[in-house]
Amino acid sequence: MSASNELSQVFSNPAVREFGATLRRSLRMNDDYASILDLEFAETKESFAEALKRFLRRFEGLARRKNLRRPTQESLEEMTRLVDQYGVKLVRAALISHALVRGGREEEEQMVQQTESQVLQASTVNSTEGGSQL
Amino acid sequence: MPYYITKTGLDAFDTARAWGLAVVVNVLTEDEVVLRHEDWAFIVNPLMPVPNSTIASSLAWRTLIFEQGWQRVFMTAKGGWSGKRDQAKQIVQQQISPLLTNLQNPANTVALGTGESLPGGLDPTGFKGLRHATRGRYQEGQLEVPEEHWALACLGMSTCGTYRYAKEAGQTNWLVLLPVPQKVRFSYFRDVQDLFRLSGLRRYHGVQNAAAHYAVQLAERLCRRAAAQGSLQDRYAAVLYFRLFGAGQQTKPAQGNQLRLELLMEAIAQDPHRTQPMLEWLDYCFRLGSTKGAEDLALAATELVMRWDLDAYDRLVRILVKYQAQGRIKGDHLPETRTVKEVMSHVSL
Repeated sequence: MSASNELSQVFSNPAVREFGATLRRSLRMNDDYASILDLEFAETKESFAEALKRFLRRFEGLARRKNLRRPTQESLEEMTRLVDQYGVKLVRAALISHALVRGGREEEEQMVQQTESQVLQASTVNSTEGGSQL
Repeated sequence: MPYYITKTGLDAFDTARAWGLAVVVNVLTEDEVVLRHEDWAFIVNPLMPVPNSTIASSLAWRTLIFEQGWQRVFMTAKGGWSGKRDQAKQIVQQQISPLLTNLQNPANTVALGTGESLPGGLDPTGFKGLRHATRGRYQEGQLEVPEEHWALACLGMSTCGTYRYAKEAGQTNWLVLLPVPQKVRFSYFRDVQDLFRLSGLRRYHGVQNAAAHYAVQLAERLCRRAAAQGSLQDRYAAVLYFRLFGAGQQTKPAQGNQLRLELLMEAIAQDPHRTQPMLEWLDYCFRLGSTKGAEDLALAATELVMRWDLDAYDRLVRILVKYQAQGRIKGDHLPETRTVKEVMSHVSL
């Protein structure tokens, strides 16, 4: 049995990392169970592209609400290239693996910043309301 | 002077004999013993020459009678297990000198067909084939092996074999596991025995699941030792496993095979510190898989440990990510990126 590092290479690819981190956020902040199912049933390149499209559409709502960063156009193109090169199964396994791992420090910081900005927003609204009462 | 356990083709019987001989030699010499696996034989090499003293006078030997494993080895003998145990110990005590002399010859052979019946709890090939009358008047006798080899094998299985009880769909099962040594060195046989005494889970989904979990637990212990000692000292080639199930009044054999351990041993030998989190994570998958409604996870983890291929890995992460989405995995139990990378590095495409 020859251990391959192709899976590790795809896992470490910046585009897969970006999409994986987005999937992780979507899963943990938006309970996006549907995207996991879509990816699970994607067998061909076309169905995988369709699953990614639906995932991005679902994520868009969350990204707008919480001011999150979306995957870039370049990352999407790179994902397509990787699927062409390695096939759906390998890219999907690498992508879902990112959704499984513990969130990195960067993500935690981002979430903290969001929470802080929400608190700030709320306090601004409260103070404005308080001001109008006076 | 090395002793040779030449292979007969009965895997569990041969491995159990090797362990049995290693225990006997260790008890006699009271010193380090090296057990090595070659293609054609198991080679037991004591550091000290075996003295002429009788084994019966050894305290360590006398304590072997208390091993619970004897009852399991002779589970098909129903109530007669203690008699069989005493018989096996008596044979070893009386025939150890000619047996050791014979085993010093690398060309020694085991003549099957006469002697003691091979118990089904030791090797599934010990069971007979058809028992009911057939048109062709098919008849099959017990598989008999020479009594001194029988006694060695029973001793080896009772000290180094693991029997796990599992009840599935109202059926009683015994899951039997026996590690196959590659190169093992021990000063006292109880050290090896302690290594094999691994706490099982409350529920297993088949014997493969039990074997895969056992392999991970064993590898984890070896990994800890390797991290402490600086390198992997003892290697195991495989875990032999088979299932026995209760069929009315009798116990019958079901499927059996062996789970190769080369990949895990290689991973530990390369870097035990990096392998440890991977093994802990796999152990967690088995533990979560033993809970109610998590059979798919148990089977996916089993498949990965047995095959280490992309399909198995893909299935495992998909199931885990679903569990995570359902809130069944707490944050602390999620793997770190480096753990996932370590698993990936062993997956073949």
